[in-house]
Amino acid sequence: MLAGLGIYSGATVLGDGGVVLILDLRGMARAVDLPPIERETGDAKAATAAADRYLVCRTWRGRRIALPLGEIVRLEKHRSRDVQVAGPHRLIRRGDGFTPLADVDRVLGSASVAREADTTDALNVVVIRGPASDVGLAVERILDVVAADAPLQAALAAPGVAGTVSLGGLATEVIDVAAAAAQ
Amino acid sequence: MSTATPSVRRWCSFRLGSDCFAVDSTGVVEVLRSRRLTHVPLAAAGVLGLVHLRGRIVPVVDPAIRLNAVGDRSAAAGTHLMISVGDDWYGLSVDEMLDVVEIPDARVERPTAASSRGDAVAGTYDAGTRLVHLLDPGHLIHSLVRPAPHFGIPCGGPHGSG
Repeated sequence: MLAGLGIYSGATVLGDGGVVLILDLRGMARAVDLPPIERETGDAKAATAAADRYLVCRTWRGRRIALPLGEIVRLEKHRSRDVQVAGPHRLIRRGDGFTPLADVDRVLGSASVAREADTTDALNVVVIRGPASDVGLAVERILDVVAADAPLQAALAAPGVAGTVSLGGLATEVIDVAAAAAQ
Repeated sequence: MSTATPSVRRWCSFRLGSDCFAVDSTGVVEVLRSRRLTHVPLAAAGVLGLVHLRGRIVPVVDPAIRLNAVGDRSAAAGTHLMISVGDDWYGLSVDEMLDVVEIPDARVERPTAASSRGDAVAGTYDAGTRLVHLLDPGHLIHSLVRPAPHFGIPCGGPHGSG
């Protein structure tokens, strides 16, 4: 049904069970007869820049961290009281199943912050793809999407950290997504 | 050795406006109430939106448009009769769920060719106190979800489906 409209590439289910439409940008451009835009020279450079974009977040301990944009499945916002505990796992209900929830501070080797957030209502979750299922990373705040000034410096890796990158002139730790997903 | 059984089917009936309609109960998946719909801009007029049900994203349609339902529709407060058509599920927005009625096939009156409801109604049944319009869900749904041409979106046009 959606495909026939030409402006949607599909639909997906949000964490709260609601349905959201996914726009087909090319289809929308065709719908309003926008002419195709020719790529400027330097395609390879542009593609590299797109690949080096990061989602910048702040953890509950105040650390500024980044996640490669290409590794992110989606962003969700949940109520803290909707987090359920099953043994050592914290889970968020999503449709008919559960998404495991990891605390970024714990991924980085720090203890989770015993926060008053459990009584507040908003929990920002960055969902990444795990080995068996999607995994949610709870962060205190999502700050921005920023292109890297320079390549990732893997020499500055640490437990839970794939390296450090300069984002807007600020040294920012990049989360080791594979390690985070395995938490 | 098989014995011939009287052909009686169970129909799930509901009210739309002042009329009574029914669908074959074997195609009924569930009845949802007060479920939030996601509106689909530029969809066909008969498509009210999308809803999530058991892992599927299901279109909800307004059969009243196709069935020319008239009368009091004030009770249309989000009751959705979820049905299967082939492998797909659809939701019918109805005003009120009624009962399940057993109807012998022999008592079903076939519609006249001039029926304004066309092939969406497969027959009618005189239940004594009311006339029940028996629906053909496939034809009903197909006529409701068919996209209408609008602002030049090239459905199946020279640009293809992308």
